[in-house]
Amino acid sequence: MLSIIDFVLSFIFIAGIGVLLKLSPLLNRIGEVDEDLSE
Amino acid sequence: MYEQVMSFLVVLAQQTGLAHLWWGNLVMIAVGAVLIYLAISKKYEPFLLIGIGFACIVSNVPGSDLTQPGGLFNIAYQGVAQLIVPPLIFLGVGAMTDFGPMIANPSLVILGAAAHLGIFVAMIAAKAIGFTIGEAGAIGIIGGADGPMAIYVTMKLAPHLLPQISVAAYSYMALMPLIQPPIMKLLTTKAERQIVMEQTRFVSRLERIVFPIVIAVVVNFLLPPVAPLITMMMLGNLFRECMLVNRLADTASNEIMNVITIVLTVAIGSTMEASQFLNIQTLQIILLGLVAFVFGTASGVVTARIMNKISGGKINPLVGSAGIASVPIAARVSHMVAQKENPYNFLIMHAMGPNLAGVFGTAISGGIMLALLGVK
Repeated sequence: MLSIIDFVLSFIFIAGIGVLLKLSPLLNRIGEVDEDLSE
Repeated sequence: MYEQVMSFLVVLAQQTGLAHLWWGNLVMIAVGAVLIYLAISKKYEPFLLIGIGFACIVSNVPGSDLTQPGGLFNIAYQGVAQLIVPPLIFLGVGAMTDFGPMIANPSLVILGAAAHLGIFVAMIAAKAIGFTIGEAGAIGIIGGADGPMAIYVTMKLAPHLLPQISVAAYSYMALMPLIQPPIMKLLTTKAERQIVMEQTRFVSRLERIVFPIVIAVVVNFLLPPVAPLITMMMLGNLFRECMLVNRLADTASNEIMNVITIVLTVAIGSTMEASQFLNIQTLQIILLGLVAFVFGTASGVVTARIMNKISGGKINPLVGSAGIASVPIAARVSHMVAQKENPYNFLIMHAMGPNLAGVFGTAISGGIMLALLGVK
């Protein structure tokens, strides 16, 4: 039972990370950081 | 006079390691020698197996001061037992890792969870054959193919099984190019293996900088038991991606990683003493580890096949097996199998997405397991 709960929850968590990553292109509309930078 | 000399010689002899040697020590010395042979001759994970093999040999010489309390190998083990070493490894991993492929293709992230079915199959099987729930959880994590995570969870759930679980985890990671391809070919068609995936999008520097900060906050909020590992990985990644502290990123990914690798390998090897290692439990753990890897590979590939059908043929199912966390070995295996079908198919960047997601998948599975078992 513990295994099933863990497996299902891990899917939910990872899917949540997937949703966050799906939103990440929106950051490019908010701002921008210099792509070429060196010390 | 003669009797005095003899009695001194007897006392001296009894203080040597030879007097306490038993056949088990000789077997484990041979095991250590085999690990060193595999590392040097076959080039299987030399950074890990040389230290582990050497420390295994030394720890099976009875009376070696290095493995006694206060000895250097014993102190190295304390670094593992106090959970200082695994987070520092993850700092280095984060500083070396480009999460771009994972950020670029969020839909493949789900494979990082799907390929961890093996953890739970091994856990159920371990419980069925008599291991406690904590031991079964630690054994299951072998299926995540993430060495530091396996050590971290084992130290929390079943520290007495550290030698067997760490050796099984690292050995199977090294053997992945042998274990995975037959399963991948069995579960896919030739046409599926030949699918060429679309180029991934460009990931901006802003996204790369925000990613580790957001993930660190989310994991600390939701999964405190494994937060130390993921947080350190994200710190290392932030050093890398901000591109302003290259010295720190270089130190984390080179000097610190090298020192910690030495500490970790001698710590693991020093626990491979014959009386702890040579028992039926070790064999069971090694077999369960194989079960975990086989089921993990299979479930990743099957899930990727389903995603391929849903997407209308855009996803090569071979990337599914890369959801097992071993970065970048599993991604390279996917790439290698795809190239055998089509030499112009460069699957590695696509496979890196699920491969990196697998690191999170293992951490999340481990974190939930620790939380459900009430372990902090």
